[in-house]
Amino acid sequence: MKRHLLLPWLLLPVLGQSPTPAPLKLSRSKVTFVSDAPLERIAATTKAVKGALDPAQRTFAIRIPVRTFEGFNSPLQKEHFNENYMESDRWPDAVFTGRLIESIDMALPGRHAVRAKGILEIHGERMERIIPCELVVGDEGVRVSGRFDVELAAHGISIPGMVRQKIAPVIQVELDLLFTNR
Amino acid sequence: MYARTALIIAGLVPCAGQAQYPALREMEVRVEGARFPVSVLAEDAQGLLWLGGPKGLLRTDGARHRTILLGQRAGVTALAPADDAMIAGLSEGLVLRCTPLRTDTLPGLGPSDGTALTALTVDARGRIWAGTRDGGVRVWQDGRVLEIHQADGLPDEHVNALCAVEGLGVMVATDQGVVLFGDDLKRVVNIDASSGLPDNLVLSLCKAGGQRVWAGTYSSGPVRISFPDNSVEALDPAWPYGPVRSLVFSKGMVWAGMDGEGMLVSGVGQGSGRYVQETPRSLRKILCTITTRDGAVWWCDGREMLVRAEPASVIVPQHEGFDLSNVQAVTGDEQGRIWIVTPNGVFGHASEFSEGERMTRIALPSSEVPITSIHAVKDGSLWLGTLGRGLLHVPPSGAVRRIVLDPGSAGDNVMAIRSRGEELWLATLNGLVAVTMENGTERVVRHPLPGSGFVYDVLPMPDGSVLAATDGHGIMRLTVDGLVTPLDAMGKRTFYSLCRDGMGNVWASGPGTGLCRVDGDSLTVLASTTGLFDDAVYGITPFAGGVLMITATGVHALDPRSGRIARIDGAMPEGRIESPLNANYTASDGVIWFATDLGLVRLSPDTLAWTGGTPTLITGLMIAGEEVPVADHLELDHSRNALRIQFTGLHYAAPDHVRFVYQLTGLDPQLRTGSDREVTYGRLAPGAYTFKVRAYVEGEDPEGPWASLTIRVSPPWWRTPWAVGAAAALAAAAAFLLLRMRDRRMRAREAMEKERVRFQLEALRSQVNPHFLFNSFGTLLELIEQDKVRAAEHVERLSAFFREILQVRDKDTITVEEEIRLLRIYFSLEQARFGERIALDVRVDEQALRGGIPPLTLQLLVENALKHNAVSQEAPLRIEVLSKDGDLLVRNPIRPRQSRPVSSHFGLESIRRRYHALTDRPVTITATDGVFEVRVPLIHPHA
Repeated sequence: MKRHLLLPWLLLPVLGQSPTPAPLKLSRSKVTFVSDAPLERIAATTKAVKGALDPAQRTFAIRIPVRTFEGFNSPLQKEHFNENYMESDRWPDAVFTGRLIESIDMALPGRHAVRAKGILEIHGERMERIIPCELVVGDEGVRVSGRFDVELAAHGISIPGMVRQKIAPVIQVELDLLFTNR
Repeated sequence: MYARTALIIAGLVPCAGQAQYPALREMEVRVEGARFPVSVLAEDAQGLLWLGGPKGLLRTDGARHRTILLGQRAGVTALAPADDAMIAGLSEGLVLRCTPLRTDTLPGLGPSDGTALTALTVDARGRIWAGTRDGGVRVWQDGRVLEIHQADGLPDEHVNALCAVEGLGVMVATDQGVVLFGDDLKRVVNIDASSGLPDNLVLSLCKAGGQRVWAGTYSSGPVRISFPDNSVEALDPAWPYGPVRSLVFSKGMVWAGMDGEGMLVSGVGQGSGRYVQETPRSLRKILCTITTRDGAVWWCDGREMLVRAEPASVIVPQHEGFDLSNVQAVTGDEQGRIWIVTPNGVFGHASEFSEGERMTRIALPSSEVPITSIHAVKDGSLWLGTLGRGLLHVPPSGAVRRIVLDPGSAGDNVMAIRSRGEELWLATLNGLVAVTMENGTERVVRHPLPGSGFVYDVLPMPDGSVLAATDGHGIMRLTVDGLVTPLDAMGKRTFYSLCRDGMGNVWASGPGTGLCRVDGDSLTVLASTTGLFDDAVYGITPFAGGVLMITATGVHALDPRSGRIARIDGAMPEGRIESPLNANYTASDGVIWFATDLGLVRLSPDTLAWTGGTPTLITGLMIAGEEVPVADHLELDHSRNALRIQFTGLHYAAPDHVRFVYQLTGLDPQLRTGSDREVTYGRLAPGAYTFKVRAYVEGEDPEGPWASLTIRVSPPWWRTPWAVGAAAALAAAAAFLLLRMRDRRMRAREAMEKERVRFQLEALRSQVNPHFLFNSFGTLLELIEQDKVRAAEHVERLSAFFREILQVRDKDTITVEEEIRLLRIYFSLEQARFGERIALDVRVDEQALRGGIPPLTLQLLVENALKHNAVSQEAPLRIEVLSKDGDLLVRNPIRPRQSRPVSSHFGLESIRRRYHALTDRPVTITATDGVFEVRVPLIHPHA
């Protein structure tokens, strides 16, 4: 599994060599997940996402350090999230690598609906996902936002019967990423 | 009367999405109790189903799974059936060619980066096409791998689906549109946004019949692409649903397995005929959908659950917003429309709910419901029977009219309406009613029946009589003359339903009475309360030449050929159903409609039972515990003659109902039956056998083709004809040899006998030869003169010598010891003459003394030596007798005499011949370095 984690980072130098334009780096990020279970709503956010986007190849890679999520209802909840469910020691990152289906010119300002197709790896389980996103080319850079669902069972995360009322089987994830060439 | 009643043509409800679905069956897949998630499906050339998933690969007949691959690294991501194998793509990129007995790797076909295949297909030429996530298409052709990339015309390296279409080539779906490659692996055409494809991201493909394919897009639903004009046509230009993950086209319907919305099924038309498949809640994300040869559609969602949509029936729980789970009556008209009575009114619809025709609604004043029965007649008008409100007439003009039959009494409750010509016959709760038209007005004639008069069904007969199904009084016949005769000799039974099948037989059913045939004026009970029909029979209707029964446990049919009643698996979902009485209808094309609490049910007769039997397959063979490939013929060795045969009958609708008849001709005296899917024959005697097996569904007659296997058990080699012949020849040869050996031995013995006689003669002759005697007597004379005592001794020795000779002359051999004793006597006789001029030196060891020797051999040799050599006082002739290496040597120096004695050459030659008869070892005579030596072998043991 380590191999897959490293993969996007190995790719970065390669992307860096593409002649024009230079790959964009993730400079500001916000990733939020929401578990809306009957008895409890959990929402946590991280801004420590790393990533890159190559406008020429339309490839991207983002890495979300799982332990950086904050905003749980209690410190104990965060501990359980990392220890029991995400097993963050074994799989410290959630990774999404792939490319954008639509070929858009990221040099021209504008708003585009795109689909990001790639491999989403959470809890060591890899799944192919196509995630619709909104891509805005602005003065700051390229801002990508989107939301998608993560089915915990599909990523091998099992929820014990006792807490089923407190943790939703399907988690909503919201991404807001700004890629800049700085 | 009720002029304000209006006929409203529908269009009332803006197409709210029709709901209809086939009977679904769920199948849970477990291997040794453990869940086996399924993410990919395929049907092989034999009709068996292969299930692939992260844990491996199975082959199943619905009842029994056979593990093909199992393990950590055996995750299957793609399957494609080839002629005689299943091609499987593994999650680590390996591609295997799998049969039950072996898996072969197709080296180099998988992606070089070890990622999973996204798609597999086998084209018309047997080439295997593999789609990869980021490496284009790879094609296996005759052991070579050809690659197709963007440079070869592939719009994108990401391949999502493949579909081989006969006569066209292979369609490849990518992230950037679809592309068709011809048989020469060259791009034929590219279909993308510029060709009118509404979404380039195509996730799935399937054949659409002829030179057409359906492409399942991410955001625009299924799109049909037609060749050769490359036209593109969306199933619904305003597709409101999500991505189409998998797709099949079967019997005019598109089945779209959705990414999160379950299965959507749709007829083909502009935004019409679509209905949303209500899939089990767990199966929302459909990964793979296939259609099998029995017309069923199967899908899976990556969990251990498979869903099978039965091809025979369609259930319509609601239509255009109207609930159809409470239909009270149903019928059809001559125009092929069906008419349904619900609490919301009466609706007309085309016979196919999927064809997108809107319903016709006849709105009735609320005071007219409930309606219990409906009947359409030739002129296009409808007759409706009400509960307590008499009869309603709905002419084509739409002006609903009420006809009061029996005001205020039970006679206004109309349970059933049938017609004969212009005549209507009604079953009411107060006897039968005939309605005829006279001068534009109805003439109503009541025919009271004995008892309560409750009549549930009516059937006008061609002979003019009318049958009535009554409550508690059996079947009654009303004759043309108005006479009422009971048919049920058994008396107080209740019948609910009557029908006439296509062959003119009349059938009746009721609670607890099962099914009865009306034969003239008597009833024959075909199925009574023996378990099958403890439950309610809601109605009977003609079906495929027989009768279909709608019961609480589903649908049963009577096969008119066998007289058997069978449950029709696959017509209805498992579980109990409820239906109003006699709410069923068989159209002229054989399509059957009936009402249930699940919705209105439409059965297609061509996909139901007795359409050629249950396909039977031999699926496995084991010889002496070792599995061998399935073949039509088996050769067994006599020592490995235990045979196990596994077989199956393909009836996925209810695998548990499959039974088998089988026989091993040559062993089983008659057909055997059972539900086991294998049979073992322990020890087959040498010979020829034929095994045949035929599957059938419990309750049906076995009628499909036999699956068969010929078997020959070879006899052991010693019982094969050539072995028997060879053995006989060998015995003859042995006998011949034996005889010949005996013959030879007898001849040899005869020859030896002759030889011995000759030898004895010769020996005697030599012993008494004149020289010997003359010399002996001369010596004796001398001795008498010189020494009387020695003379007497000499005579004694001479006499002893002759006595000994007489004693040994008949023997073949004597011991060397005896021979030497004889030799010493002889030599002493000769010594009496020669004195010191001759000497005998005997040095024979103990062992040699016990050996055997032909008598007088040594004497002869010594005599020879004396005869042929000169003797003198100065140089005495020294004769040695020695034992050496099991032989006896007689040796003397060669001193030829001046005058050579006359020799018959008998001596040495005679010895040789005698030895030849006794032993294989030779007698050797050498004369070297002035020494004459005769070497004779000893004969062992001396007997």
